[in-house]
Amino acid sequence: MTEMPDMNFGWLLTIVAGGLTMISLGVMIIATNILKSFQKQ
Amino acid sequence: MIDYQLNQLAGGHFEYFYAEMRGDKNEMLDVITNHDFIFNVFGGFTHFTWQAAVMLIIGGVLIYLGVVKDYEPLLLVPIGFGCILANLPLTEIIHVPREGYVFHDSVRDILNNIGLLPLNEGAKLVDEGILDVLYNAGVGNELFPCLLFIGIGAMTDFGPLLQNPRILLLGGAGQFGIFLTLMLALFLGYEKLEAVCVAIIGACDGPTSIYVTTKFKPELLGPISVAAYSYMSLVPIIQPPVMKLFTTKKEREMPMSYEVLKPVSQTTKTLFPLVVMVVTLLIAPSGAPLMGTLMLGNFLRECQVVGRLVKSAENEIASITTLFLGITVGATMNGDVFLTAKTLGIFALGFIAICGDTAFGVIGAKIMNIFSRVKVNPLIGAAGISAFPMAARVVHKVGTEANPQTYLLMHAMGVNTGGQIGSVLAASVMIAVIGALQGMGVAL
Repeated sequence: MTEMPDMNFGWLLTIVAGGLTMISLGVMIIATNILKSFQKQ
Repeated sequence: MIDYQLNQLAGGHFEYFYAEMRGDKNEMLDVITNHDFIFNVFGGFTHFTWQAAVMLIIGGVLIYLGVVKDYEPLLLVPIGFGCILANLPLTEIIHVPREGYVFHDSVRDILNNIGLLPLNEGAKLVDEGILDVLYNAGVGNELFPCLLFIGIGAMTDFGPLLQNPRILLLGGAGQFGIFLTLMLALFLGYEKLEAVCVAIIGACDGPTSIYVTTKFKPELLGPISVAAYSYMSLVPIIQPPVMKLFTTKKEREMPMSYEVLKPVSQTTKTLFPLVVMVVTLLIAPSGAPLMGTLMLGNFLRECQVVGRLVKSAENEIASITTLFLGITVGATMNGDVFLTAKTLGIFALGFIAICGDTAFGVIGAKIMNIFSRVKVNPLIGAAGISAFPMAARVVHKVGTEANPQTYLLMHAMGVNTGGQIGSVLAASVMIAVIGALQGMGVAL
């Protein structure tokens, strides 16, 4: 079992999870705009 | 006194029986005056501890908040009732903390009996209480929060969000209070997984908080659920001062137009939950129970061909699950676990989480304005939390206080539903990262 200092764990989670969350939302925005572009005007 | 003549007629039998009765009476008196007997028969009183008294008061307070003050009554009322039920002594209605018990006829008990798996030292063999049954059926395996999410998804209209998809980013910004609280909790000495469970209060979403806490630290389920639901109901009080602190009066007065928002087709609304589910689960597969059920509920609503299922999801499923979840979660509020400094810390950090979410949401809106031609009123960023629709109404109210001409409600509703997605996404990604670390052998 590897030990990880608490604050390192916190930063890891903040940067990775926070970053992935925003990237995922960005992808969703792009996908939604693509969906909307197929809407009949 | 027995009649002498009658006794003689009966051959002395009456005297014999009377002597027997007198002997039995003495024996009975000995039993009922015995200390152990009194202690056990009146066990409800003799086993009543000060912790039980405090927990009964806390349960009463939760019921008061739900019934009289109308603060999230759907959850606080069953939680409060479950708390009272479980803290009355010797009811054996639920057994917490779970690790200390093994249930008769459970798999572990059977394996222990055939010598394959010895019970842990100190584990007590008990019969299941009725709330143990509910706990094992839907709380311990994280089923109930997911069922509740089907109902929530069926009740949510993503239309305002789809009219202006970029406000999804504000739903993400509003989740950074979670990470702020995580760092603070770790700094204050909480263990890693405890800090994660405390931080998830910032998701401002009951089922998400319950799901994550049950997964990582089930013993904290009681305080974290109560904190999450209490603060959600206090959003109208907590948010406005933070919103005013991070905005100027001129910013709050900014009107927002509805002309740029084009209507969204039903096809888009129907495909949106599928898109969200696929994107999220490719990035964070461990979020499947949460995001999958939320989007299932929404898809059922938007496909418009399964009206009966939507009605059941919104009503029967949501109501039954809410009741069972609430009462079982309340019953886990054992005095030994709840009445600690850690619980106070949880409540304090939960408050910071909500404030942080509000602040980061507003700051996120301001950053968006730097890069965007079409400006948004920064107040709507504060709706990027999952407390739907309360946060949207609060934003609209603060906006109209600053400028009665402005109408922020529909924009704020869009951000609010984006916050719903953002909170579940943030939780899913955190679960995925923690799972990856555990898979690598990191001790958490």
